[in-house]
Amino acid sequence: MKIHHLGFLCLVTGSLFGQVTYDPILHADREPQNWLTYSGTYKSQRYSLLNEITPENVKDLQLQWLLQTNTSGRLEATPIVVDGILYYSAVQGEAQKQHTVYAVDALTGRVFWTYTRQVSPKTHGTMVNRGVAIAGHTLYLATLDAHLVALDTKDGTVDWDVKMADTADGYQANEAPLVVKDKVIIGITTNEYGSNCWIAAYDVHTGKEAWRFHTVPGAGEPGHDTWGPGNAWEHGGAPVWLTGSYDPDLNLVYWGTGNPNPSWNGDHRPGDNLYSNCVVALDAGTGKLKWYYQFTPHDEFDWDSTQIPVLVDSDWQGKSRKLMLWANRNGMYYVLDRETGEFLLGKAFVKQNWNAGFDARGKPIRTPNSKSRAEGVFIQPENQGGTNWYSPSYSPRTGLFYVSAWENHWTLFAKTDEEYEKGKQYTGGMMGGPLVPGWYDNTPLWQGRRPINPPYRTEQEGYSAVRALDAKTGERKWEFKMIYDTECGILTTASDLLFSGGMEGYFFALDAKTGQPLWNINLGAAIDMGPIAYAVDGHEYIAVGASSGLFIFAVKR
Amino acid sequence: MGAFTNTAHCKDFGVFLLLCLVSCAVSWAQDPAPPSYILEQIKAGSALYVRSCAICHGAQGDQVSGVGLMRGLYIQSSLTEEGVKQTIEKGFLKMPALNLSDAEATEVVGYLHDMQFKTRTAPPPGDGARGKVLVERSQCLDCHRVGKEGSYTGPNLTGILEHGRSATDLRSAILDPDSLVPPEDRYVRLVTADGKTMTGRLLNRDAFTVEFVDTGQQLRSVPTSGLREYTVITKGLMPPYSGKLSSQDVADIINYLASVKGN
Repeated sequence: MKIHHLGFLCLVTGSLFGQVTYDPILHADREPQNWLTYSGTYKSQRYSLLNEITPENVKDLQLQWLLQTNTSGRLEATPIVVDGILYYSAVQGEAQKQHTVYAVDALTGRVFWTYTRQVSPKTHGTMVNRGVAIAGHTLYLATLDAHLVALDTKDGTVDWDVKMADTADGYQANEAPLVVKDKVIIGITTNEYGSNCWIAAYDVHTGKEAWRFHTVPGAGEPGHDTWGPGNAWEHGGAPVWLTGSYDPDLNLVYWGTGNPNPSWNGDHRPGDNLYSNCVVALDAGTGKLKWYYQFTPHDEFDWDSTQIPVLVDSDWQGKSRKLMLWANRNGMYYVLDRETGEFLLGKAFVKQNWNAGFDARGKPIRTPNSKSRAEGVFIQPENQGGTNWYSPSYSPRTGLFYVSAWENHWTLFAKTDEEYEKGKQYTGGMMGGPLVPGWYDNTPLWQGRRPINPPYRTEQEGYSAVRALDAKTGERKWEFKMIYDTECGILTTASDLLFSGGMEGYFFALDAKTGQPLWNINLGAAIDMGPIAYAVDGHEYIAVGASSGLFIFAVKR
Repeated sequence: MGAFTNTAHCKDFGVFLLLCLVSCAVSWAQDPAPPSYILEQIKAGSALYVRSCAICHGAQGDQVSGVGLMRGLYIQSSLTEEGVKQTIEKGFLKMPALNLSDAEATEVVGYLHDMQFKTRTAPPPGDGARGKVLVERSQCLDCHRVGKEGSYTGPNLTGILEHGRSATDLRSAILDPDSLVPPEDRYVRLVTADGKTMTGRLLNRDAFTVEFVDTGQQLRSVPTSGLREYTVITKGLMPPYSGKLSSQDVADIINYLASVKGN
């Protein structure tokens, strides 16, 4: 932890360290200048009420400042902004594996303090962090070695540090926690290590665990029998690696869960494999399951359902309902009733060949050939999905749901026989074909199907897009195409602007109503996080990360 | 790379010796002597590859854009085998750091090394000096660049055999070029808003621009907004030399190209 010219900058900017309790997050729409949770508010619409930047003046956006984080080239975190202070989180993995949390002046980018936390060089998993949460004078950081750390917002010192899980079992934590009342809620993940995962709540003051919901039910619990008669449930995985949402009226948190293990071979886990690839609605006070909906039962294609639950209160077929909108990795767009879990709509938003419809209760009906085979089976969407972890957005002004989509991609899913081994990945599959050099060239199945580097691609060979869907029908209203893939989230604002980017390195603004491009800048590296908007002294700023830099834009005044 | 021969595994010295001999016999590429891995390491590395790598990289190691594990092509272009081990341990961009011991990472690298070695095919016997003359006389340099000679309009052939192309690939490319136009060698034809037509070898395409080297060897970057036409061309880019060059001519040319390193 380092203090950098704290007194001087307080004098210059007039910023005060803000205090966030549950109440401001609950009423985040009263503070559009702040960005208080991973997705902005409990509804997770990634929609900002700010409107100083408009379709007319967006062409005048200029870089204000840049925070260099010295990561190994990938920022996935969403910043938190409170009363002129921006908190950011990055992972450095090249020289040594460590987390860094920054508290910076949101007006100038000058650093108040940094907190660094080294983790073991042997720590494994994806070397990213997706952000911190805030409550009161405390920030909450989940770490690669599966700890939850509470930091003082004023100086970055550690208030408490609890171990959530053991990395020897393949566990890590990389999502931004969500604070609800007096609890910090977060899920545990693995990178296909076959260790069963969970969602847990910790006391904001002490770090003491308050409740835990196991995403693979144990013996005697409802859903346990969906893993078959053997012991497959012991290594079912179902990781949790993105932030959920919260409905204060229902006091329910909503969280997405990941794929079962072994990822590409379901032979030894007959059944639906609950609660993998689900959204679960949990009582925020007790962690008790209220309802669930499973997007991809008995998944063999690695289609985690960890996307952000987007909550919308809207008319649905003449009746006011509490809805949940969800574009899933499996290529389908869903509307659920978030009070009951009732399935209301399921419609493909990209090409897909696994889903032949839904039964009366909303359970998907599989196409005959959507089963992993040793020799491989071509499935759309691909392994990375029609979308994935990139934050979607919903604008109450346009009524459109915006999603970063991958189109025309496919994967040859091929299963392998694999026994569980503690501390080893439990994938049960690969991209197909025997391990023989030159096999492609002699196998008609593969001809013309090698992955193509994006710069040389045709549209038929795969592209990505920002797609705008009618939230109530799933019908596509417009799309903005990119040749490269995108892992960038989407921000919409009250002036009907949409901000996003992609692996091409462009950060751009579109007209949220039409998709027309209005402004872009080449940031020179892939953009892998969700942009945000905030305001200081009444002026709007847009923050976005590319490679190791966090860029802040505002309109020239 | 000194750790690759673990004495504890060297009890099967016969296998080790055989592998060394095979390595020497096929070592045509003028590379330094490759590190040696014993058969147990390669087999163990194969199993680890299937468990931990193939779900993303694929059985053939080429399912991640820009990476060809079985051909030694990495995003970090000068990655050594020690560097591959470091990447396994530390992760890189989207790739997670894997929970493998140093010995296990070595086994994976040994497997990749073995696959890369097998993937290479030796060029047929030929006279490289004669091949050089043929390249210069056969109008190859009107489009291609070899070393510091030739044009930028076609694919650069310098070190072509070190970058994922086999001798068999090159033979097909010379005799029947339309049969093998890799995506990175594609051409595009553009018609701009004001009716101007441009053609060239594609270098990049994104949401807002297209970059290419045109037929006059100029680097061009053109906004995609307002384009009347954007056509990818994969046929008729090079005349076929079937019937114009003998098998020996082709072998001589490939031998010459194999001798031109770099790029």
